[in-house]
Amino acid sequence: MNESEQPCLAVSRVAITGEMTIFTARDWRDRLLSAIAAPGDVELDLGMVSEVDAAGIQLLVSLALEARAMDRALRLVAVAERVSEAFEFCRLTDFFREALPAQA
Amino acid sequence: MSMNMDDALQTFIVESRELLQAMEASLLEIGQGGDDTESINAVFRAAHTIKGSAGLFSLDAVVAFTHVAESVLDRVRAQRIAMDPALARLFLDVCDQMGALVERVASGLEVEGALQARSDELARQLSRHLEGGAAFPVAGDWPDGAPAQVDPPVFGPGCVASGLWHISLRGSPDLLRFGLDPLSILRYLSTFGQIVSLEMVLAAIPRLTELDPETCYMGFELSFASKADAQTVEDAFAFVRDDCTVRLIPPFGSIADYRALFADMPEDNLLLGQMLLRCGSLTQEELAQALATQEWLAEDEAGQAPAPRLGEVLVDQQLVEQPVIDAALERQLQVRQAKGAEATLIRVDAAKLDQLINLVGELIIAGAGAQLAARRFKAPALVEATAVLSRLVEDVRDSALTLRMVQIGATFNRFRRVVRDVATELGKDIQLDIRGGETELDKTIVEKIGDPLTHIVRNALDHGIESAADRLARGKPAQGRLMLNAFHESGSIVIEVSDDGGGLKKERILAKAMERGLVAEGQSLSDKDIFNLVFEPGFSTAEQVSNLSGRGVGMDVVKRNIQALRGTVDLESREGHGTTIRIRLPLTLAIIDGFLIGAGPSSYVVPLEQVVECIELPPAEQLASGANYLNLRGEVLPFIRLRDLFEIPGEPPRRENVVVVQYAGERAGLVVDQLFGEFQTVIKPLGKVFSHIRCIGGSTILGSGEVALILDVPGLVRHVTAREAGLSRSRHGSLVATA
Repeated sequence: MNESEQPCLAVSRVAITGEMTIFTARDWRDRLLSAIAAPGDVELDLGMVSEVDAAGIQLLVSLALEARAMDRALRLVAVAERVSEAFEFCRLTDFFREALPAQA
Repeated sequence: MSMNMDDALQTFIVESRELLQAMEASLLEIGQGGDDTESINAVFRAAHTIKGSAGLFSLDAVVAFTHVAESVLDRVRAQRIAMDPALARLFLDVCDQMGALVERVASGLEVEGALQARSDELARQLSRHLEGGAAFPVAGDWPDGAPAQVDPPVFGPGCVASGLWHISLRGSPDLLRFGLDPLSILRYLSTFGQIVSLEMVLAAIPRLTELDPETCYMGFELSFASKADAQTVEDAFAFVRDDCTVRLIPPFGSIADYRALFADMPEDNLLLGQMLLRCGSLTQEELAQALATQEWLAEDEAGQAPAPRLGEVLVDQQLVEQPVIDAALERQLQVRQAKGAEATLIRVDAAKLDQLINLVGELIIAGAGAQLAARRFKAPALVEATAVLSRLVEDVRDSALTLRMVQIGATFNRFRRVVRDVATELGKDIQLDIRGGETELDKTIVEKIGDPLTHIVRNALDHGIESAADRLARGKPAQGRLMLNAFHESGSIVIEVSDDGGGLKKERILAKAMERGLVAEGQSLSDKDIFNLVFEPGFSTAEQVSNLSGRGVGMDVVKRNIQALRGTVDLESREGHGTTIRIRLPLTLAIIDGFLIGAGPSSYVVPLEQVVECIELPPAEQLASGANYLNLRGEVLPFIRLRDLFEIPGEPPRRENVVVVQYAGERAGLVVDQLFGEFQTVIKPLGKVFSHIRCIGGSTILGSGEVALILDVPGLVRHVTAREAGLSRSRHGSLVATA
C-alpha cells in the first residue's frame, strides 16, 4: 500500500491504492482525516483500490458524512470496479451520487 | 510465505484436522439412506470454515483448492447437481487432499510439486461439476428477475403478504475486528437465492472525526427470495450469530415478528419502518398495524409492573402460538449449552498427562511406605491419617487415569472409510456395523491398536467375506456384514471384529500347519488351537495373494503388537458362517488395583480384577497324589504352586492358600503361602533382558521399597490349562522360570 498527496489549490487529493479493508482501515482513516483537516475540497482517487470490505465501505460513508457536516465537497475522481460493485451491492450508489464522477 | 508457528496457527491446524474428520464422517453417511441434506450441510460447513480460517493465515494454496470444493458443494446444496456416489468419492479424495495440505502447512513447508499437482488435478475434476450454467444461481433463476415466490400458505390475519424473507442484521462493535465481513455473508446469501432489495443502515455510522475505523456501526435490512429451507437460511448466519443481531422473518411472517423486530432494533421506528417499506417486506397498512400494536404495548408495559415478557404478551394476544415460543426458548437453551460445552473442554499436551500419571504413581508408592511406617510405630492417629491419605491418593489415581481414557468410537469410525475403500476395490458390497463406540480405554492403547485392527479388518474384508455371487449361491444376503464391537469385561476391554463370511477351513489350516511342521502328524488339536495357528509366523491360507493381505505376514505381527500391550487375541470361526476375532486389552498401562500375595520371602501381585476368590488348599491327603488339580465345588480346577513355578527353596507353611484367577473364561489356581490383600500397583516395565519370561508381566515397588513381581495371569492360565490338556510342550511358549 502506498499513497500520494498533492495539495492543489484548495483541494486535498488522496489516492487510495491497494487494500481498503479492516487491515488498513486505521491507516486510511488517519490519511483521510489529515486530508479533510486541510482547507478546500476533498478528491479521492479510488481507481487503484484492489480490495474493499465492509470496513472500507464504512470508512467511505463516514468520510462522506464528515464532508457533509463540514460543508465540504467530496469527489470520487476514479472508482475501481471492486468499489463500484460494492456500492451497488450495498445500494449506496445513490448515497455517493453527488461525489461520483458523472459517467459512473 | 514465512510460517511462524504461533498458537493461532496451531489451533487452526488442530481444528482443521477435526473438521476434516467430521467432513469424512459426513461424506461416508451420504448415500447410506436417510436424508443427506444434513450431511451435505456438514461437509459444506467444514469446507467453508477451513477456507475462511486458512484465509486469515494467507494459506493461499489451501484457500484456492477449498474454494473450488466449496463452489461445487454450493451447487449441491442448491440442488443444482446431485451428490451421487461418484461425486461423494471425489469429495473423499478432496477431503484427503485438504488433509494433506493442512499437514504440509503444519510441517511449515510450501505447497508445491506433486502435492500442488494433485490439488490442480482434483480442482480440474471438481470444476467439471461447475460447468454448464453459471457457477451460482443468479437472477436468471428467477424469470424476469421476479422472484419465484413460495406458494402462499393459507395465512391468517396476523401475517404479511410478502413472500420474501426479511433479514435484519446489526453488527456488534467487534464484528469486523473478528475478521468477519458482513458483505461476504450477504454475498453468500446470493448463492441460494436473490437479494431483492437491500437497505444499508447508516444511521449509527459517526462522522470521520469520531469514527473508530475498526468498529462496526453498520446494519442491513434486506428482503430475500429463496426456495431454500429455513435451516439453510439460518445456517448462512451460523458463523456470525454470536457477533451480530440477526433477525430472520420467513415469507408470510406474522406481524408479531415485525413488531418484535421494531422492539429489538435500536433505530427509530419510523426510520426502520421506511426501510421495511422500501424493502417491500411490509405494506403501508401492515406497517401501521405493526407500529400501532407496538405503541400500545409500550404504553401497556409502562403501566404494568412487572412487565410481562414479550413472549407472554404475544401468546396472550394469540399472535404467536405457545409451541413456537417454546421452540425458540429451547433453541436459545441449546445454543447456550453448546457454548457451555465448549467452555468446559481444554486441550492438554499428552506429555503433561503422562507426567501427572507418573507422579501419581510415585505418590502411591510413597503413600504405601508412609502407611507401613505408621503401622510399625503403632501410632493410631498416624495410622488413621495415612489411611485417609491413601484413600485420597486412590481417588486421585482414578481421576488421573480417567483423564487418559478416550472413547474407542473415533477409532472405529475411521474404519468406515477403510471398509468403503476396500470394498470398492474388491468389488464387494459390505456394510459396517459399529457397536460399543462409547467404551473407554487408555489413549496410548487406542493409538497402538489402530494398526493391528486395520490389518484384521482388511483380512476380514478380503478373505472373510465372499463375493456377492458366492454369498447368493450359499443362500446369504448379497451384502456382507462386518461388525466392530467393544465392551468391558473383568478389567479388560474386549474388541471384537466379526464378519459373516465363509469362516476358516479347519482342514486347510491343519494341512498347512503340518506342511510347515508346526503340528506333528497325528497330533489332535481342539478347534480353538487349530484356529489360533493362523497367528503363527509365516502362516497364510489364502489361495490368492491380493494386494491387501494374504502374503503370510501380518497375523503374527498383529498378535505380537497386541501382546506388547499386555493383551491377547483369539479367534472363533464357523465354516460357512463367519469369523470373530477377539482382542482383549488391559484398560490401562500404568496403574492397577492389585492383590498382593506371598510365596517364601517373595511378594507377587495379581491384578485384582482377575482374582475370582481365595480358598484354603485342602490337606495333601485329600488331593490325588501328584495331581495338579482340585475339586472346586464340583469343577476341576487346575492349579500351580508358585513355589514350584519360581523354584523357591524351603518348606511350604502348614496351611497354603489358593488364589483362583480367571482370564478369558478359563480358571486356574495359584497356590501361595500368604494372602496380603489389596494393593495399589504402579506397573514398572521389566527390562528387555526379562522380555522372554512369559509368566511375569512387570514389577512394582512395595511401600517397604522391596520389589514385587506382577504375575501375568493370561500367561499363567494358558500355561496351567495347556499343561492339564497334556500340551505342556505348548506352542504358547514354555516357561523359562520352570527350567
